Amino acid sequence: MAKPADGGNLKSDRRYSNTRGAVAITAWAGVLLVALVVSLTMGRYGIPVGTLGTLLRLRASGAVPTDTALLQAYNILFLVRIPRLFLSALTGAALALSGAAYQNIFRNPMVSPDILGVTTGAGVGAAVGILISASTFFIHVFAFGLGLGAVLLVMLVARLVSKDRANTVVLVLTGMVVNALFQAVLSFTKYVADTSTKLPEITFWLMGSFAKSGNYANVRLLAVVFVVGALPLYLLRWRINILSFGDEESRAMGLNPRQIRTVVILCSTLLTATCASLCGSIQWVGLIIPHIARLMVGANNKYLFPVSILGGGAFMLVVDDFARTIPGELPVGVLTAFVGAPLFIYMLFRGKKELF
Amino acid sequence: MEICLRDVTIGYGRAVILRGLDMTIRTGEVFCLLGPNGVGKTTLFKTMLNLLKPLGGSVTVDGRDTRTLTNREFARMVGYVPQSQQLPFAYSVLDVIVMGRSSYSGMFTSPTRRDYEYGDELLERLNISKLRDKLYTQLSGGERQMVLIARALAQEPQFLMMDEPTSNLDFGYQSIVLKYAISLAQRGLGVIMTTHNPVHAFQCNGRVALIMDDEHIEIGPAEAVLTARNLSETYRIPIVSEMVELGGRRLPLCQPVLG
Repeated sequence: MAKPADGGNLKSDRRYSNTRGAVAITAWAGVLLVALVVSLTMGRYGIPVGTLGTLLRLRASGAVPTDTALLQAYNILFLVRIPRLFLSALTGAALALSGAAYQNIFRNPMVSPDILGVTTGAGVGAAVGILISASTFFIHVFAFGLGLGAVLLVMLVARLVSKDRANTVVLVLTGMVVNALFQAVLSFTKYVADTSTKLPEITFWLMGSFAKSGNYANVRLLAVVFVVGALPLYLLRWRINILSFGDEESRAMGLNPRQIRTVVILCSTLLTATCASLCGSIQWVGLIIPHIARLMVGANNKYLFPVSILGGGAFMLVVDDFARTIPGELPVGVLTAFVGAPLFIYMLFRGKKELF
Repeated sequence: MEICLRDVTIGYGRAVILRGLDMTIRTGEVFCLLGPNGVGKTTLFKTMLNLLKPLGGSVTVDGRDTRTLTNREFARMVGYVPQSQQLPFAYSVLDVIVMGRSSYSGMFTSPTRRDYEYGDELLERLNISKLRDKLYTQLSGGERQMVLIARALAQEPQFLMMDEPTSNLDFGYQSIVLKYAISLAQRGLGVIMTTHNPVHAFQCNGRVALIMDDEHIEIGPAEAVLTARNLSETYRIPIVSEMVELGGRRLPLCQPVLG
């Protein structure tokens, strides 16, 4: 058979490596790292880089600072800031990855991880929890349970409607219906909520924030969920590509598209429902980060998924830096929309050719 | 190797579209499927592709009932060249072709260097190496058709099923695609294609199944099946069809007579 025109091993190695993808992954890993360090210093209580070094060295040696000012910085850094940063980075990564996977299986770059009702479901769960004055733990459990429940309901109804034909359009339509239904329940809980105590709490929850849930227990939980949910998506990333050609072509290429789609939906829902139950409703990350990643490394999930994970983490850290630093603590979900919407329009202008 | 239909009933759910289908398609031939819109051509095509289950009878590939084959096993025997569609995401041409290799690798793996090399080989065989690093979404219809053929060949199949491979193509690409299909058959592949142009069936010089209506299917060599009479009856309009001598060549003349 014919050999590649440039022959020789070194050169042909280059023929099969995606330099742009590898560079982008490294670059975004760098961006994430820088964002993490910058975020450590930022906040209403600023910690200069020099002090940061001192504190980290102290921590490593197991000592506790004796100086009062230093002790305050130490406590803020290790008890508040670090868990919050990890929580926000993991959330950004999880949402962006779910979004990238969803866009692929629904064959539509306009899809976000909320499309099957997970965030609205979680919102209802949290609102009900708040309404009955449940403990934080049970608010999280309700939110997670109903987030998951909404998606399972969508899958069940879609399966009954489309019988043996697996139809993503039916899935999306059912998602819209269930979303609307849960939205109505949510409005109802707001309507009956006590306007001076419960309603503000529900409203604040719906806007999303890392302020309340930034502790090590939640970080550990989200980290475990991230591994469980993201690993299958990451390993399946090449096959998920093929699903953008539709079910018939995927089957003819030897895949079982329905099986892959189910795995993707379950993993993404696990990730999104956990994020939503811990941090409330945070939109836009799952929509725009995969877009930006696609502009940089192309459509192939082999590079798109890692870049979405890293970019999502970095984006969330930066947005939360603003949320934390602005006096009065802005809800991060509001900021993601403020930043995300204009960015998205800019992308539409710039990226027409590569996106559509 | 052969694809065999024995007393096959096709349709969706309880709605039967055609019944009692018997045909055998062998490797090394081009087999054209013709028939008016809505007669069940696509349903038959999808049943042969194992995308639809036959409602009765059996479809076998190499003696194995398609109902017992996994998607993966089937993909290694039969490649599918769909009508090209617009894609939501801009994959590179080489990536698209390499997707055809997935029935040879594990669930959790990405394509290997060898898969990419195989993709490059196919690009050269189809004479489309210049498309290698282009984005699939930016190709013309004809270029896309060639890439889809390459993707199906990446499955290393014994049969190639092409769904109206010449529709939407200009004269140049129509002849490139047909010539390539014929050369594949000469190299031992079985090529099954649906078409709306009887001339293409003549040009492929293979056998034809003309679905005249839901009870009547003619199967045989193009010249025996695609007669003026059969075609006029099938499409319910006057059609001329004969071989004419022109400049020392025998050419098929086959077209509807208007008014």
